[in-house]
Amino acid sequence: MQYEEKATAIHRLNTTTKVTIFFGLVILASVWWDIRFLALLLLVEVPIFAIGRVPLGWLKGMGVVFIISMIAFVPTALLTTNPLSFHVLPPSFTSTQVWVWVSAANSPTHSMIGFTFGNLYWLGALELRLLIVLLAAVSFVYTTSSSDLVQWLLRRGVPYTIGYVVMVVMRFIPILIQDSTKVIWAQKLRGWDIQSRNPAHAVAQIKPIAIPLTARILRLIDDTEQSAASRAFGHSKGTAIIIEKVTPKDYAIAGAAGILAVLGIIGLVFFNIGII
Amino acid sequence: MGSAISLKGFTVTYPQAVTPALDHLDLEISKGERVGIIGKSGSGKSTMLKSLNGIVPQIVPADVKGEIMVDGVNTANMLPNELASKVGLVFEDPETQIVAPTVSEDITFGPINLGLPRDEVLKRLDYGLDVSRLREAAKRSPTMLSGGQKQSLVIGGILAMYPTVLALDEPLTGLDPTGKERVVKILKEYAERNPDATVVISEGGTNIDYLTGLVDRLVAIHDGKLVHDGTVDEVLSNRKLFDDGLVSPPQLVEISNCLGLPRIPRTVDEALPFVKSLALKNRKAVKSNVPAVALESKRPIIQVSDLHHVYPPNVNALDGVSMNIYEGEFVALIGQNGSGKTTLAYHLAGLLKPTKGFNSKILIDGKSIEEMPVAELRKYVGYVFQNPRDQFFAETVQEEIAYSLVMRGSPQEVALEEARKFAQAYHFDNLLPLSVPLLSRAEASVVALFAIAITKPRVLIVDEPAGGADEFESRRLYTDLRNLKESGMTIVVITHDMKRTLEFAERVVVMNNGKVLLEGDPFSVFREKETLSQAWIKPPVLSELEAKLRSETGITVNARTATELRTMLVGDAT
Repeated sequence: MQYEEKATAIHRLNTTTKVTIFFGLVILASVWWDIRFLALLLLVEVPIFAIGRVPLGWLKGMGVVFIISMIAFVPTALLTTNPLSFHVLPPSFTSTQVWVWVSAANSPTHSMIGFTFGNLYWLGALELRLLIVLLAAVSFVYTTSSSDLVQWLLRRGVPYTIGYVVMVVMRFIPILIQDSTKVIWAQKLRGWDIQSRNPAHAVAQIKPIAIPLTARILRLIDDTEQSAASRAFGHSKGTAIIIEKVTPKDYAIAGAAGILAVLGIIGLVFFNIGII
Repeated sequence: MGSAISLKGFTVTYPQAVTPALDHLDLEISKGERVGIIGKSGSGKSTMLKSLNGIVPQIVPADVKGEIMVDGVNTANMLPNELASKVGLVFEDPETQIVAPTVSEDITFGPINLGLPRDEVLKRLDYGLDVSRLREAAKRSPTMLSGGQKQSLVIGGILAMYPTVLALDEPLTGLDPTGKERVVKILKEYAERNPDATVVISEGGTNIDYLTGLVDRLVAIHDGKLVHDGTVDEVLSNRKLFDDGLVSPPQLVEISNCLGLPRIPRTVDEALPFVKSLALKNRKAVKSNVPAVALESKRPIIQVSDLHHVYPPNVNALDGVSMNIYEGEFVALIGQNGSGKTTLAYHLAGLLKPTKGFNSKILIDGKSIEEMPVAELRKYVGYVFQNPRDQFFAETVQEEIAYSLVMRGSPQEVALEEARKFAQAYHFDNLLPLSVPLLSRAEASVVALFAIAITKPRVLIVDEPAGGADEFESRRLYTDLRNLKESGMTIVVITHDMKRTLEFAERVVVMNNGKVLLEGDPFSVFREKETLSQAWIKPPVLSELEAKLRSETGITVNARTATELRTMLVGDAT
């Protein structure tokens, strides 16, 4: 998962425009809960993903994140059965039960868990928000060079060190993903597998993966520090060398993205738009 | 000429080390000099170069005594980033020094850090692209470059900072022959264009022949001490250095020493007249080692047919590979980076699945790999990854070796005892009590190999078994592989080391652009110089010499080593 030089319309956009679109999508996805509005964001995002020619293979990695997120989100949803948790959706809708379990009336902690239309809607919104954020992130990473981003930050007075950290992280994340795969493969070939359902045993079985991977990360950090120093990193505040070209198209797209994001927040604050 | 580098009684001792890495080193290098620092792994070469730009002791802590001056500045007291425009240091592994997403952005990284004005940064970019010969790849991602191109990129990025001293730490290690030639060409051009530039290159020894014509002085160090300092001819003629194992000899030196040539030849053409006269003198007695690989009599243990693998978005890593691996053979899989060797090997180990839509098939002992349970597949195929440390986690070597047996169900005590017996049988029992994190690179490679070999797979695949090892360590590892083969294992090595391929492989498979370009015994494969050049492969020196000898005299001498060449040309007499 890394930037690739291409001549797509998204790649050619000014960094400011891409940053505005990215943050616009992420901010709205972070504050909206209504699936109908989130679906609109998705409708904006899918063409960006397609026009930017982001490899479909990247979606596989997102699938793993979804499965992990479900492990955390589903139990939370199961417990969110109270229709009063919802402010906008009608109680008649949110309280409709799909499947519920209610503890005995005389039990000390009287409770109800299960699925209602309300918590299923909430769960769907949560996953959709995650999807929007991930799609925005991968589209941004694939179409924006980390150096462009560093230069963009530099021109806006952000310390060069922060930009460098961004660049190094973007460069080494794919390497670490590859290395992790190799470590897992190497141990699997020696017979390693997580077979135990006992959490204590499972943690012990992680050791053959965790130790070499940690050692690799530490080596990478050492190498990066030496490499950066050998290339004068920290010697000065850096030079902004990219002259930003802002085309009318950039003005139009960045302006539209910014205005929509602001309108979205105004709608949320004053008209409950996006709230469930 | 004034002094560019001056070391006086320079001593470096790393924390907890028993002996110093550099021990009272005295060395003067004048401005404009080109010097090769040679020595085995662990001799102190890297420590010396990293001291030049202050990485030692400013980033890598060490106790430093004596004096180290570069261009009149004591570097032990300065930060590396302050010294970067004085000393440009190129690391052994280019991957660790590339930080930016495109070639041109990586070249500008140093000049931007120096805070140069924009126009100057762009001028330096132009220079960096020119010197690294990567102008056409300026917009490409460094991940798409070959090993030689990556090293060129790092050199371009360092030179774009206009350093007074260019220091390169084993820049040729790990590169394929074409990559080595590319890097040397770049350095030679730089040296010619900049007569005042000081260049210091460290080298384990085996690549010294690549450096001739670039350096005019060689300094040999061993255990942190200077053991010889002289012209290239003087050092190469010092047999004691090579005989005592202080420096790895390049193959032309080995040949020269074995045949008793009057002087050390710098090129194959220089060696040819002497070898020719020996061959003609003993024409009747010359016995060639005729390779006998009668494949039809061997049983294939792995059969690959029409194997395809496409990496996203659309990279054809394997494009219809068909080949067999025969039981009990020692096969070398060669080809430049990105030719498909490792992808093929991952398929043989069941780590990757063929891309759908093709009629790809892999049979292991006649059974389809896809239908084989994982546990059964592991009995057939073992795989040793390139970076041995990627699999270590135990505290001692004995525990690390025993782990694979424990994972296959052996009780811990039984597995440890098995590991002990196995280590004795293969003569590495001295390593068993050692702490895994403290192993040297060569020791780690031995442990990684036997940690897999102890499970006795029918086929053992080893990715670059001696990557980064010096001549002595490399021969030891390949000898271990041959011993495993003699115990009945089939060995498949993925390598860039043509010298070891000639010496140890019974069969060579050359990969290029995801296809098998050539297959055969090493002698016949290395004769196909033109075909090999398509895959950017250069035959080893011994094969080149043999080819020229055959074309001029008609005498065929299929020697795997310099010693064998001597035996064939002049008998066993020394």
